[in-house]
Amino acid sequence: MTQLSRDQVVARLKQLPSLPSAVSEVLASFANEDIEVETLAQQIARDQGLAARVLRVANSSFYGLQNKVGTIHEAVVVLGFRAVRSMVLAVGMNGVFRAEQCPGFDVQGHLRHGVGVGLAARALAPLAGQAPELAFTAGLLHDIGELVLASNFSRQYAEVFAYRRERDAFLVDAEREVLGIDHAEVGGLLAETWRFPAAIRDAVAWHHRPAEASADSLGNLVHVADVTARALGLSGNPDEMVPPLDATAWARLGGDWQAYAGLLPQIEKGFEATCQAMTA
Amino acid sequence: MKKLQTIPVQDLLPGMRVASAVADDGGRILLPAGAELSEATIGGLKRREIQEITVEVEVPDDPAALERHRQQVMERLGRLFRHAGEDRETQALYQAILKYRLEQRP
Repeated sequence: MTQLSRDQVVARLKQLPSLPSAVSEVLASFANEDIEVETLAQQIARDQGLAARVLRVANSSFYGLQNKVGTIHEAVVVLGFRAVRSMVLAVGMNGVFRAEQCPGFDVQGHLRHGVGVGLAARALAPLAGQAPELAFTAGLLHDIGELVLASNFSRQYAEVFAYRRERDAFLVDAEREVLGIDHAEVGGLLAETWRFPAAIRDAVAWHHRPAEASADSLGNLVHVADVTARALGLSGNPDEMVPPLDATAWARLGGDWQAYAGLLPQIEKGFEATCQAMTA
Repeated sequence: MKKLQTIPVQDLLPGMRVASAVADDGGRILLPAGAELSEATIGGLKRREIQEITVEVEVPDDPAALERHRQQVMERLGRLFRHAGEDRETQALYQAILKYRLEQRP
């Protein structure tokens, strides 16, 4: 057993490199609705690598655009500021963590699961009365704590995977058992360190314990989306397993199975294309 | 169940449904997707020397294939839900996913 203390994790989080400035600006804009859209678009456009990746996602079948967009400005005009902002946040996190150095960590499966939960959260957002774009971003980033653990505590986290494989346990249970802390808590700490929007921080921190979040928290939607993505087997991981669906979270989404079933096809439509756009 | 089939024009029968729009060389739409063929429209295709078109045809379900599909779906979901427990909500979720998967024909 290699227990990690909260303080150890927080100390390590403080040493993380800061986010690209365009991503930080976008984050700040969540708290400041008066921000000039044009200023922000220019800022994103100046980070050429980021802009190129955002445009790739914008032109993927995820948005189903008839005509391709060629600039961030066009993307903002066609898709709306909120959609572009969510994309910047999601795409900007890619490549910040070196999770592949952790033995047993399935980098590809992690990404596919994130995309699956993002698409599920977006599709199910109307049930929760949440904004679809924000829900997508929250879903995509909900397991960011796993990336923190895999890249900063690789050796300890590898023990979690060994434990998990041996007992066919849920990852979150293996983490609590081996490390004494789980990826949701670690993700919540990262979200605080990087000043994520409160709604996304909430989803990251509470998706495994949604009943403890507030009734209107995105944690409820992301929990249901997480369970859904696993039930659909989207990660492609052969050891995938579905956790119990939290009754409180489900009731907070309205508890309508018929409405839920009607939204399932949307989740799988465009899944592979979105995965590709996100990896590129 | 419905299947898409590309059929030479001389084998077309009235009553078949066009699966995707048929256009001439100039790009003009001769028949929109979903149109039902008649003697007259088939004659029109022949006169314009269209070689083949894609139609929707009704093929009977193969009970053995359906059963195999059901088995595969049950097996896959059984594995995914192996530790999900017996809670009412989780069971309802299982049923919703099962129904969704079974409707996706092989």
